[in-house]
Amino acid sequence: MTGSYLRNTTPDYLTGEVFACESIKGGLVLLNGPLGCRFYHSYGFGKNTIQESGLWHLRGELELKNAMDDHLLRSQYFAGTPAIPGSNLRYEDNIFGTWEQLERALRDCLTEREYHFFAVLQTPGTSLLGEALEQNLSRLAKEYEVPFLFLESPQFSENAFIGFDETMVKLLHLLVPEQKRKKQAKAGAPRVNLFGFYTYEKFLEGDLAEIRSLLEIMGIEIACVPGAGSTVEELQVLPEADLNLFFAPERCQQTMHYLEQQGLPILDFGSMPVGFDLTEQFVKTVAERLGADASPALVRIEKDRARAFYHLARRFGNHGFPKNIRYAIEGEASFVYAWMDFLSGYLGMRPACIHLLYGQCKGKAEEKLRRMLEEWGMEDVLETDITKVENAIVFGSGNTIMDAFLHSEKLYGVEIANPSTEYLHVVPKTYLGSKGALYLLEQLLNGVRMLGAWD
Amino acid sequence: MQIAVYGKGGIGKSTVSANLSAALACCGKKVLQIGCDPKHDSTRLLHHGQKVETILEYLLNTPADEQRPEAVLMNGYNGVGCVEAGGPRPGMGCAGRGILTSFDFLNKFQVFSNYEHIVYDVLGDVVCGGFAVPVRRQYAEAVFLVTSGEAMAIYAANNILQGIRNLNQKERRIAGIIYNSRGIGDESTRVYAFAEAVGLPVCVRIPRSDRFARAEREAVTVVEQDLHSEEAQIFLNLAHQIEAGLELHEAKPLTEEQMEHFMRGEAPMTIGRTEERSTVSRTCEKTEEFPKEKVLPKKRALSDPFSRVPLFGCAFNGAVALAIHVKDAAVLAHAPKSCVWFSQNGFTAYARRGFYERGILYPAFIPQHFEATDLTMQDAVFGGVEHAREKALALAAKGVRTILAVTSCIPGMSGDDLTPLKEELKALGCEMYLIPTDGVAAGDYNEGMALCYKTLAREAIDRNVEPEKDSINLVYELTWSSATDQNYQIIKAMLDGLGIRVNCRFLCATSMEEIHGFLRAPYSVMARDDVLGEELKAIFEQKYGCRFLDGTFPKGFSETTRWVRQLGSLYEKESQAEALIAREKARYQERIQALKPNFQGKKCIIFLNRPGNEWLFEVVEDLGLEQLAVFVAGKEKENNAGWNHRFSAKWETDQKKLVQAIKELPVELILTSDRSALADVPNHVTVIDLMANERPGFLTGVEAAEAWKDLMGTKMEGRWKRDRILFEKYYT
Repeated sequence: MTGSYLRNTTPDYLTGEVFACESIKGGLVLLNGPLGCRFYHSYGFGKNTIQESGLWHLRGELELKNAMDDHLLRSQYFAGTPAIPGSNLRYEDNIFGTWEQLERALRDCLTEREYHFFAVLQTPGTSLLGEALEQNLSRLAKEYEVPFLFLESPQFSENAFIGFDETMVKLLHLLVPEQKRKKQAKAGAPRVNLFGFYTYEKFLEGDLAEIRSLLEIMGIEIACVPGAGSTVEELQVLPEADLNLFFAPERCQQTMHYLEQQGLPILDFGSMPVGFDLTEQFVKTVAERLGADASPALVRIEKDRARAFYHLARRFGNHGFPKNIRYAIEGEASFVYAWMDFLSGYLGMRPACIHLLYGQCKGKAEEKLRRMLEEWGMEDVLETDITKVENAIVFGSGNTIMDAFLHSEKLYGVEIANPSTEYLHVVPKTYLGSKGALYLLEQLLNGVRMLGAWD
Repeated sequence: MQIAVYGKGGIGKSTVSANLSAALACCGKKVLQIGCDPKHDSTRLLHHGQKVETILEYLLNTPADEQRPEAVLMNGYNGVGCVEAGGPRPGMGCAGRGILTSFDFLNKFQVFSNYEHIVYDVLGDVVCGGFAVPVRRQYAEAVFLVTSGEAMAIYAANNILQGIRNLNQKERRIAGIIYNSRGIGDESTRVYAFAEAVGLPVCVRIPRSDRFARAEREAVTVVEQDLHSEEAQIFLNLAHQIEAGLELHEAKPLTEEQMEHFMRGEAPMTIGRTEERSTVSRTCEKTEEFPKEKVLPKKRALSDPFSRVPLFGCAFNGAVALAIHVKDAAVLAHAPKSCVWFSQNGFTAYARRGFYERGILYPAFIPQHFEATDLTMQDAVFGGVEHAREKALALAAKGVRTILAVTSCIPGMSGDDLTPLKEELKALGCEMYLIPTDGVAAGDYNEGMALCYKTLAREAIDRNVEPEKDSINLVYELTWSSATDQNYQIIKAMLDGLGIRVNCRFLCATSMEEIHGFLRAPYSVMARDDVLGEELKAIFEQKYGCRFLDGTFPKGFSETTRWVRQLGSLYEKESQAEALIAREKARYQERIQALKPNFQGKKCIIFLNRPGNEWLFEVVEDLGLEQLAVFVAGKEKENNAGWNHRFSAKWETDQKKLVQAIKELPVELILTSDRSALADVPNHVTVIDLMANERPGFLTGVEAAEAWKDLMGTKMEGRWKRDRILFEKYYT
């Protein structure tokens, strides 16, 4: 038969646009299309981060006071789910034009709440109409005195992160005033902006907390994290930061290029700091660029390394990880590269399958990854089907893990991406930095025990 | 300067454009001409009829990372850059989208910045937003209208003015009229009258001349053929006007009524919305003959905001989520990636929850034969039938015997018709069922499910099957709930107890074999009942003469007792039925007696937004609860999970009554299927959320009440509720 399709399904450009716009707090992000297009985006966002609109999700008495009594939430544009309203178009609007209904939706929202900007995103169907809405939107924006962004083409099936990246550039252009786009000196502790995170991240809150913690003990502050919940005010002082740190090139190549053109200082780390070695490299590189002292962070990483050593040695002695247990992983190349550095380089595990997502974003990370596999003589793992592996620890989304379980029970799944299998995480967690390395190790050690039951 | 040349099809726009480009080039300017007509012959006279690859052809055939503008840019006469946007085959795809895509491509490579003048040759029929692209703000600064004195040409010119006015309001964008004479009657009078009526100058008059036909045959412009000819001088004159700086005018189209008068030749000089003009002519005094059109917004149903009850989800998604329940069929989603991604995350959510919460993998929610076309921009422009065909043939080649093809908005708008593909696949031994939801065209999630249900009910049932006496079909089970499997097990256990086999679950974790063999079973039963359920049942009854049991999957003791007796009677198993009822009665009464002390005499209010609540009233009575008030909001039959109710006046009225009742009555317990109707419930009142998918069978009420008992016993509030203020402090 066809084999599994599930693991290849990724969001596309439209979702990337939504990720970018919705990540900036205080904006109205409205999809000009039928509600079906916004419904699932709205659900996706509510689940991953604590948001003000999360109150609308709370059950019990809180919901009663804040949910259905809310005019907007009950409106035809939000239809009961928070964030990312839609203009609620019908098929007939495709024939007569969408402005009448779009204007109604925008006016309803802009009158009810104060927004710092609004973004109108054409859905795939609406974009086919090619309507010239800029002028009307511009008039409305003047009336309500808010800037706006009109994203006209959702680039059907194009990579989500290209959409995210291109939209982020447009947002920076819109929201960072021209006179502020050049580097402006600011006294005090060195400050950095972080790029490459987005709100659909598995552990966004914990990831940022870990990066913040590592930077803070070196005396470095985070100014803003575009794409992961920054406010418009934070974006406006973005050029004052001493360094712009880029973690995942697939997600922010054009943003990096844009900031370079603005003459802002850039550091392309090339991947996420997963595992102890990449984390050490990360803190050293940042400290060197900013003239900060890396030693407090390095001491913290050393202590975490020591803790990891104890648990590894106690469990496996001198033998290391059981040689028959391999790992399978899927994700963007820069992520997978970082994970492989930890799993194979640090732990000495052999990969069974490497499945790269978002193939349209070929870049340096994928080249590095392929070279690493060539050195090990394991290029064939790039061709293996992730759902056909056995006796392996599978790192992927909930869907991929489930799919793999349909074929074999001799697996242990570690969720590193959404959608999840619905385990509720209350304590913020991370796979980044040295704390993330320990959490990952905890999962691996327990996973090996589970797999041991099948021997 | 960026110049758009608009006019009716066949009026000579391409000839005018090409000669204008040539004339501008003769003035020493760098000129680019962009043909925006799908038939892509705009620049023919500039490059002498060479074959040009259109932008859209090129984008279709070239990998994105290899695309370069030089490949579609040809240098013509005097270095004029020639580009053709191209378009899809007539009747396929979206030509307007094609123009947008072409302009995006040229912008991406900053092609425009290499030229001093850009001439856009644009199709006159502004049929969609795509054709209006050249006159949008970032493109053409000046627009020329090409017209003759023929009625249709003038109609088209006025129509274009209307389009430009819609796009640019009162901006001055019109350079004037290029009068391309056909030499017919008194067309000059008409053209000049029209020009005056709409307040535009006639920039040049091009006489009818054989020279154009000769140049056309030689595939050259008259400018190239003989620069000193009278005809060529007209274009040089126009080029000089452009060089000297054009005076631009506002678009002031005539209204439909005014056009009608004008075309009848009635008082041509009196036409016009002269009240808007800066100079008033003598004849303007007669404008009362043509009063300003009273602009009343045309009321269509959809312009009434209250007619727009939200559509819950999308039809494509509903159809896909149902189609995956046919285990041995491949689902082919003809849609862009995001649509497929969200659909997948929607239906796999039940699998993920089931896996985590119960440790059970539900294979129905993890389809192994799910393929998608991942529609691209090119598919949207050219049509995606070929793309779908390739995927479908690949599935057939892999041994797939049934494909359920579901289409989204884009194929619907591009006009993709997959019907011919069915025959091709049939010859390969693969049956394809087409579910053309076309996204929003079909409606909401429920409508998509309806289309899938009905398509298979009408097309996939085999009339030539052997009947099987002790078997039954289960129709219309709830597919979007992780409780469905448990409910099925309860029904199955009762049927097993009577010796009746389940023949087909239409459509829930089923197979094509079961669907084909639907008519084996002498009877069917509806799992639930609403508008769609009734429609589906009617198809089976009317088309195949199927017989259904009364009602739906039974809930509560009395209803289930009747249901089992009916089964016993229809299948001649009365004694087994009575034995089963007797056993269950003893269990029911024992558990009711145990619960009664907790509920006897408690005062309750019931608020429901759905039908089928007999079980609830039965258990409320058996437990001895006192009913203070009962509200049943919404329609009797509702197919949208109560969703539409919340946008109805009746729901709001009932909600107000409920809130009032809570304030005024000594209520201890509220039983509701719609918690969103509640507000300000006092702390001492217990609120019970009735599940959307209660278990069927004898014990529905008892099992529910056992859960309520635990809630009633909980009087501790929990201090966490006080921390709302902290949430607001740190997170909002």
